Amino acid sequence: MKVKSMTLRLPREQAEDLEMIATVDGRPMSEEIREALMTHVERRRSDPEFQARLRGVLEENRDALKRLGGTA
Amino acid sequence: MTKHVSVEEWVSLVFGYIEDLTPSGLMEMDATAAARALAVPRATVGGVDLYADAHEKAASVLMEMLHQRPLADVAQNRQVAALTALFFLSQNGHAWRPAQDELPYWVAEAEAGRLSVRTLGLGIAQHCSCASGSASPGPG
Repeated sequence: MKVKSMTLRLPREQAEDLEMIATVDGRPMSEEIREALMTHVERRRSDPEFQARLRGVLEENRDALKRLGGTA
Repeated sequence: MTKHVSVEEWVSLVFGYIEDLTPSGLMEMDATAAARALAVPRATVGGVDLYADAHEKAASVLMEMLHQRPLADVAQNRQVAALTALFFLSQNGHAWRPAQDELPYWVAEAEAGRLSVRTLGLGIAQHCSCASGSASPGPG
């Protein structure tokens, strides 16, 4: 799997809270952050209004969007 | 009040689109470039919106997404840039229904730098209907 490195700046207090959680869980901080991000994305994915609107836009414009993918 | 697309919503758009229509889920994403592009419709000058209406705002985010290229894959970036503009319009009560070859035309012209935001906004408005159901006048 491709991996992208990122720099994340956090308020000191938030970073210390995260460090404490990671220590208690016995996991690296990076793993805690990845899990938090995935939870956040999943929560958004399950937002019914957002998903309904996205689905509507995709259905109405499916062919046009696909055609963009084939443009040189 | 204009409802703008946030970075987290944009990420969800990307995951929703890529998962929905393309076979590969692997991609590179530059969230910082996306954030810069998404901020453009909010631009003001002297407290007044730089972009007058939803059509120009959608045009601005589409063009900026094409130029900032938050997705490394050029084709995917074009698709997601257009999807972002379409989604922005939808959540602000507008439905952009470009004619069959119109969307690729506008995107190609914008990517090549041959369009201004205003011109693209006018082009979007020509095939955009509002929530009230009234359609903008089409080309003569």
